[in-house]
Amino acid sequence: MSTQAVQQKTLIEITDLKTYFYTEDGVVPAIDGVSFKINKGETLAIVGESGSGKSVTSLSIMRLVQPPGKIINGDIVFNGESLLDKSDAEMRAIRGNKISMIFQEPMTSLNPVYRVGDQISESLILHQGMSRKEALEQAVKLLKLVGIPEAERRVKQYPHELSGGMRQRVMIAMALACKPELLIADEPTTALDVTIQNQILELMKELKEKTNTSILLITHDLGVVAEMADRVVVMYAGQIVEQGDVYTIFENPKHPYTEGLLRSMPSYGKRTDKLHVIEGVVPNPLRLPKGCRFAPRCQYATELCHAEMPEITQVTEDEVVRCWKHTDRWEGQ
Amino acid sequence: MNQVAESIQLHENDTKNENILLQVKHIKKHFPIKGGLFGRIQAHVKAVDDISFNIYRGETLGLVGESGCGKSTAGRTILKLIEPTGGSIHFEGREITRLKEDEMRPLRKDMQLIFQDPFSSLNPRLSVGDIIGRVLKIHGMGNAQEREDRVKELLSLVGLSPYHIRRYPHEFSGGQRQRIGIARALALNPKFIVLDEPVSALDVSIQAQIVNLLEELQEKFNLTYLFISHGLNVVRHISDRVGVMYLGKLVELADADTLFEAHKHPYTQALIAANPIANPRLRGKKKIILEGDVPSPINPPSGCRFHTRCPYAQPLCKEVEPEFKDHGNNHFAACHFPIA
Repeated sequence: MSTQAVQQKTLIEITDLKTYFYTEDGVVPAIDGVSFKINKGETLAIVGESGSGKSVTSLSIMRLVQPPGKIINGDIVFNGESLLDKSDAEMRAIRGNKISMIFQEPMTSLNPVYRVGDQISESLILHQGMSRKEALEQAVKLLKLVGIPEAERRVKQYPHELSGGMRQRVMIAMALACKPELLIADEPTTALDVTIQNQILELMKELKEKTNTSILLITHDLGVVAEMADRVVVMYAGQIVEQGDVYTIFENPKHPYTEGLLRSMPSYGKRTDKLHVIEGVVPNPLRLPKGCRFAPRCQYATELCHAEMPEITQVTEDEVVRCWKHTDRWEGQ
Repeated sequence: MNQVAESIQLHENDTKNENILLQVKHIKKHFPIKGGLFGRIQAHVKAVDDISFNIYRGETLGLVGESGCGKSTAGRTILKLIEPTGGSIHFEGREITRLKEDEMRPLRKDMQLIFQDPFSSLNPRLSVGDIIGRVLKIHGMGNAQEREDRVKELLSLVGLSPYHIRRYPHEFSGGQRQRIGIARALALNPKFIVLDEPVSALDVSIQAQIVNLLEELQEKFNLTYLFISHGLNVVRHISDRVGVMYLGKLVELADADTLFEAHKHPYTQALIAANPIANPRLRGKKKIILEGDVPSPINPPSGCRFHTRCPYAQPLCKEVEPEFKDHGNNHFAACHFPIA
């Protein structure tokens, strides 16, 4: 919080981003008009269920969307420059350097045939022009930074010789090698056990304090969001349905989907008889509802909700919601 | 053997106790590791190493622990899907430990398993009707028409539609597939179901649907559940009693509220403290960070297996293995210095 108060400079701003997938069956609007920004030193969490478009958002920022996917609209401005105007070579100079990424599955995102040390030094040699020797020394320092014991021995090991938690630490060390300004963490702890998850989250918080790196955290785990985020974006079926600071989202959610998500979690306190349920399933992205995309599952939905898509409404200075309930045209309960 | 102690002796006569559905005594499962030129046995992975507990009729016993602690192996060994290396299992007062596969078959109707991954546990080449119908056929239930009727009934029971009977697994979402897995487990009117991470692969909003369904079915058919999961919130919600496993050992067992609020074992404490709470005002509070990773189950630490990571470890913990004993009110814990 304190860092946020001091630094209010925007690091990255995404405006009306649309990434569509042109499949044989039809067009899938994986991201459909998404706008948000991340300030320097801030942690923004994107929450959503499978298919909500949260991972495609991060791939779009990295310009790693593969065909048949395509960014068809909007802009991504990083440090005042549009990433969509960059050439492939310019993007390569940014990836792993200014913006880096931690993936969910540390086993598949590390190369099994290279030593850990060589994988960490690759970006140092490439982006920082270090010699191999210097880079390996730096790799040892980085492994120590992320809390790996016996770092000198570990740099010479292969990924299969490390446990899941250690591999994820190696991924973080790689991501931090070039002191990125933005760290994208896509479900960074989903594959890990809680005690290891706890270690990794504490590590990320500590590194953020030390380096003032901004973090874009993508997760479906509301416990992790509550632990880490300054601000939260809630996505549903390719759109942002609500955005606000972490306290507002958890204590005073405006969108029925956010409300439902929070209520459907087994509460940690008293044992209740029944869990709250959001009925139904996420809509098929090829046949999205005409009106609000959440309307078929929404307990408050009226005719208006089924007929017309609500626009994003600014509720307070820092809070937006996409719901007819928060507009002048609302006549329901 | 010291893990047994008085606690188990108390239950020694319980084999005939009507309220106990399943009794597990000193169960062990050691997997051999073969290697070298002649494929000799080099060592054993002690996946489950001498655990004892009862499961009472109509209850849900939760089993929690981190990956590799042996909770899934324990679940499968109890069902005799894996042969135990030692110990005994009594089901409804009858010892089933040494029963052969054909002697087990009639009992399989009573004991079922629901898997974590609804994507790989359903045969993609079979229609839903065949997946569930096959179970009925193997156990010689009814003719083709009766079986089809039963499958349709089961589908409605788990919240799917009878017309789904001709569909194939790929046509369903994750939550719906898990419902098919549940229908299959219910097909033979079981008494006891082992649920191995049944909601871990599902989205939050779908998790709630499945958890509610499981509770409804339990009430309707008086089912007994062993609910294995690493998700502490779900376990707390659904379980009557909860057991905590660490490196092949049961370290604590108590009713759910006691376990979460008045635990005795430092590992239970650390596990619960590590569980992120969905309340941003509580962030960073009273976290106990466990150092390092879980040690290898091939060569587990001496004495108390948790002593290498335990913040309260004393010299004694390294030397002597603590007894798994009753601290009153059926609150079992294996610790030399239990938390008061």
